[in-house]
Amino acid sequence: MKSRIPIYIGALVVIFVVILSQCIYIVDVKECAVVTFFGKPVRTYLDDPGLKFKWPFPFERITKFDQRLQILEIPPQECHTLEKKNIMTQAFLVWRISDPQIFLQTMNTQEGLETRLSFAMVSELAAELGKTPFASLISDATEVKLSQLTEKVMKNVQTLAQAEYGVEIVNLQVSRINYHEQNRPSVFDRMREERRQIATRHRSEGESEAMKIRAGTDRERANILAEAESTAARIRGEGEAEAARIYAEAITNNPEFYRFYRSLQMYETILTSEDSAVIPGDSDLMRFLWEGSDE
Amino acid sequence: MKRFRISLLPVVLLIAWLFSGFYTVSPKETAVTVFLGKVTARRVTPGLGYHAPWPLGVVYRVETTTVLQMPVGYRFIDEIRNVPPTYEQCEWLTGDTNVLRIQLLIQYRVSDPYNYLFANANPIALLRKAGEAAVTNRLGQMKVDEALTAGWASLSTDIKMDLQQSLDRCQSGLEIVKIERVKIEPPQDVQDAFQDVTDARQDKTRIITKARVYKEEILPRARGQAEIILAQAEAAKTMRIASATGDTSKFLALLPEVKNASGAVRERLYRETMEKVMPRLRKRVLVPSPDGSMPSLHLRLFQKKSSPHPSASATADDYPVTPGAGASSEEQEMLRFLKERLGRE
Repeated sequence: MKSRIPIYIGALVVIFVVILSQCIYIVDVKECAVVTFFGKPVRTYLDDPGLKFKWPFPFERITKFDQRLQILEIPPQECHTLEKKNIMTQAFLVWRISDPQIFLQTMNTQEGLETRLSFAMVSELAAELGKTPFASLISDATEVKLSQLTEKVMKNVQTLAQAEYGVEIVNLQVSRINYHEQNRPSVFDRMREERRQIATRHRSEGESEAMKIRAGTDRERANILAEAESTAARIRGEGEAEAARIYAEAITNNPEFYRFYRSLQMYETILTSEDSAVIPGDSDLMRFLWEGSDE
Repeated sequence: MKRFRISLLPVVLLIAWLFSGFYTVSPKETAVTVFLGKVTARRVTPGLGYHAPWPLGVVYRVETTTVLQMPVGYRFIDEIRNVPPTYEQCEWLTGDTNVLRIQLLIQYRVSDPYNYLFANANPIALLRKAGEAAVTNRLGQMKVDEALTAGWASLSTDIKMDLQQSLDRCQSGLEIVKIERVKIEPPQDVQDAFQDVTDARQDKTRIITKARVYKEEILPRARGQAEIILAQAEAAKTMRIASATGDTSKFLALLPEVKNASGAVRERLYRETMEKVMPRLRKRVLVPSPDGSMPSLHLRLFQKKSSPHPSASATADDYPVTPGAGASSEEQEMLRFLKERLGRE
């Protein structure tokens, strides 16, 4: 009897600890949890980590899920744009359990959910791309619809995921858009052709610009010289006019004497050593040569 | 005594366990403490701290000052193994539907350890994917020429902005420090064509520069020439005026004298002029006066062949004659002609 008591106590302690471990549990900061009472969800812990209690095993069960944001990538998909252009796209979404209860009832595993989500994302993306011309996905124009497109796809996937899987889509983006491999050679050909055009354009632009500069230079030089010549002519004309005025002013003083005076000056210049003169002996000039002795 | 010893061991263990609650956070790190699944401190700065020991509490340490690197468009492991990235990894489309090879290096650090640890399951995978998405989106709005030349500054800013936005939205706890450009180039297949454009651009600049040099050479010279022309004209003007003044000043100076003694001045001027002019003339022929009063005739003829000088004809006072003859045989004829002419008058 004396020896039995510790055994009972020991057994009681063990049973108590086992039951307690069934009743106490920790929901980690990364997790959310659903407590079910015979399979029926009764309590949900979302954004509510810490020490929790429940009834022991046969009555209540707890299921924990990772509550963190998860990234889901889809492998490159061949899609068609509105004009049936073949493109390879790659996308990803970021999801998180927003309603653990629905998630528990419908999906229960992350793998299953991700398969469904990938499928939904691929089909939504393909559908939206099929309605969008390639030029509005990738364009240097201001209107680019890629972000609008992803918003729309995200909203569609979100609606589905929220209602059916208890999952929230936080982000969805197209990470890649590229030409299909079979189109690469033709794309490269087109690029090369484009480059050649640009190179030619640059060269001819250079030529024309240079010619313009040269022609402008020549014209400007001609202008400068012509202007100088015309100014010079005006200046010379001014000189002539001034001279004429000086002459005229002088002449008006005594026109008759001017004629005489000027004629004398003219003789000095017009008579050269080439000229000869016949001088009458009795001219006023020579008269004294003969008459000097007579008088 | 025996009882005392037995009960000492659990006490020591208990004390040791309690002491294990001390922890240090190194200067590079920030810590988050969790007690029974609940976060008790989101951001524990470096130093010594105490927290409930395991398994009640856990201390998570994250390096928050270290700048980490994430490649976009290639993988570090391929680089180490010297494997070039596949086209799917490194090719992006530009807005004008050209293909570019792009390799960027995202430098980032953990800015919010709480989010990094507990809000996002895989922040690094998110960073990679969101980085690619940002490049797709931003490069898809840029022309290839811009992306290859001056566009990098705005491209990196935009990518950084987009990426940070995605990271924040997805509570990654990451912060972009910088986006570095490793490589932005056209694909191998078309590189020569792009190089040709670069060459052409240089050609253009070179040709234009050459033309500008020509302009710089020609125009100053033309201006100088114009200056010369103007200076010459000014000089001509001055000279013309000066000569007119000179010409007339002598005349004007004479005028008072002329007024007083017209005849005397005329006489003097006339004689002076004759004195200057006569010696210059080649032949001076003295002709007898028509009344034959001239006692003798000094005549000298020079051989000469020149055309008559029309301007040298008549003035009131003398008779300059330019004989067309030269040979001595013509002397007589010349003389006869003169005699006849004078005799008739």
